Amino acid sequence: MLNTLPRKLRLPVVAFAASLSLSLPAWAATVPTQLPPHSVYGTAPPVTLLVYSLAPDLLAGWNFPLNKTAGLGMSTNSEYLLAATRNLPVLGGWDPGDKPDLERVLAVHPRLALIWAPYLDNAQLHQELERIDVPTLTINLKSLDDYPAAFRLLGDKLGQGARAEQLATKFQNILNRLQHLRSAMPQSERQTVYYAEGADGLMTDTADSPHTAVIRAAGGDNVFTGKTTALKGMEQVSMGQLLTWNPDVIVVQDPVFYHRVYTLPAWQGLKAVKAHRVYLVPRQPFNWMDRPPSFMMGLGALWLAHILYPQQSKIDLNAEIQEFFKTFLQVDLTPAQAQSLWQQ
Amino acid sequence: MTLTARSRPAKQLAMSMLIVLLCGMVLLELWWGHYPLSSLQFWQWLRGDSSLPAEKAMQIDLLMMQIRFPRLCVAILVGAALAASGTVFQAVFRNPLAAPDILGVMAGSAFGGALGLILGGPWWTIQVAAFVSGLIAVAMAYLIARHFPGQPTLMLVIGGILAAASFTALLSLVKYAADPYQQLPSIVFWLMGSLSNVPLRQIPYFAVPVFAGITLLILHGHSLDALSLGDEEAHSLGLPVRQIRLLVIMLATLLAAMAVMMAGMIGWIGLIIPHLARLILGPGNRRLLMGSSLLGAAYLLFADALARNLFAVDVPVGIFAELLGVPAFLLVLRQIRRAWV
Repeated sequence: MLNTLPRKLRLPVVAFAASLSLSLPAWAATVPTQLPPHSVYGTAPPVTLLVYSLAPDLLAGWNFPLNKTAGLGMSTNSEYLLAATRNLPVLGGWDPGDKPDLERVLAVHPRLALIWAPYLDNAQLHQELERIDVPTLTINLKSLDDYPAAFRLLGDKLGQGARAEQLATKFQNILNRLQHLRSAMPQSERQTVYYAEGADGLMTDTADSPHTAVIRAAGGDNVFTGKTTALKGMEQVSMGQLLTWNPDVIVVQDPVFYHRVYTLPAWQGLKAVKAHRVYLVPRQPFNWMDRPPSFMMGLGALWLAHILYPQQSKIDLNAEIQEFFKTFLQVDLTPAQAQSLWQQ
Repeated sequence: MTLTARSRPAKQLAMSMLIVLLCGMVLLELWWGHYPLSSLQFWQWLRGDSSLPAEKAMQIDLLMMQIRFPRLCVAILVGAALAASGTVFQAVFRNPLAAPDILGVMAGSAFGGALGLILGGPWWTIQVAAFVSGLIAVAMAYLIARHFPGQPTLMLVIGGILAAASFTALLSLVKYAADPYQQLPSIVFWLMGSLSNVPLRQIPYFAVPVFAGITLLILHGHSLDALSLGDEEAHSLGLPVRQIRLLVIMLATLLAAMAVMMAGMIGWIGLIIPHLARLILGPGNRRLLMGSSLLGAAYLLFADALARNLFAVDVPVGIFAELLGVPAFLLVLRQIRRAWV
């Protein structure tokens, strides 16, 4: 082909083509199609859990110990966790306060590392993975709407196209139903929601934060409209502020706080507490809402929509939970088990 | 102090012991870690033995050349730079409590580095920014101390506290202004205090200024001896006091700024190691600078080995450097008190 080019143009064309091939992302050239078991490392929980759902056999390890409940949503009770993944090593991961010891990652010899974009797609991370010669795949998970495409992309890379398509379709179906619910909801009927985090319930996340995607998807109006200043979130608010907002519904992340909320005098003045509309976020086998954000948010959004709009949403929650667990987590639940997951 | 070597051969012996100690720590750092590596494999790798299976050999190469060796270099450079910097500050300010962290230099450098990071620009501008704001911090501490004569030792420490507080506040401001998803995590990762931030190919950018700085300071060791006697004595010995003082302060600040750029904030080393070294080697600054650098490097390697391997989770090295620092500080407290009163 080069021979047909005018002589003067050959060098620039070759140079351009060479620079193009150099600028291709590393994975485009190096990801093998057939990966051995336990060879995919997620550098952050959202992408790690994506692998767990799509191809649990390929998961190389966890980002933090499974029994760490404080703050994070991984459950100690792992009866719904696939047995083969329970004893995977804890490799650590990247988040704004932490990074792994690369030796641990190297020791399990991963063939592919997944990076969570846009939040943790930074130069240091790429540089460090390059040091131990692990190819990377960047997966965009900015909002819930990105999950179907993420399942398909990862399924394609991992040779799990059929299962990925099934998961993507199911997830898209959930998103479509929620979209329909939101667009049919008159503004006057929308419920306001406060997301209570921390031991005193006075930490929360902004309406545009990646930590509150479930509230947005379920059609709730987050009362905290401030600006997101850091990925970690958990911003402090005051009781006075909360009394002014006076939300319709409170969703609580910390079980200890949840069990205290009806006894704390200051909270009794809130509409949501008076009406007993305070709910603990389910966390089996991974948190349904946040910390870490994951595909479980699809189920979390159905749960919250059911709580916020019991009539309009027409969600048979127990049936939804059973189906979600079967599809995404490969676990068969009885209706009673499904019920016990969200009715504490 | 019975520990102090008094005769010349004893001092040479002590110096040789420090070199042996550092070599021991180097081997420990290279061998001990989470990657399962037997002593035999380590030995085979060191000898370049070809009997290792090819894939294992490749992994061990990656482990050694990409993870452990860069970390080893950074630990040595940071430990040596901080200890040498502290030695110089203590001599030039004639103050046993002077150290890069106490004078606010490290906070200043952290601010400068973070500012450089969010403004963008080539790597050397970030280093220059860290250096310049470190200098501003030490100038601030010094000027505050001069403005309140009477108790120079105490006032310099107070000046340092004020400088550190100002720059810590400014650093928070930079963090607030940083882009929360790209720049802020970078700044937080860096300031956490880690020896594994610098990849192999960037090590020379730090090694050259650190070695040059320490060498120049060692060459000025005798001038430092004169300066620590007081300005008039130094002047009567025919030294250009102001120029030399400015030069050594700049070099000591450069060393502290390089340490912060490599590993974030790691406290205590600059304060304690010079005293420990003085306890062993006596007061001559030329020898003391060499001894401090060796001891600082060995100390940080030891702290890092413990931080990485003692618990199931990785603990930031700064925590161990400070924990080990407490007993070491108690050991040298008598000396500090004697110099103070």
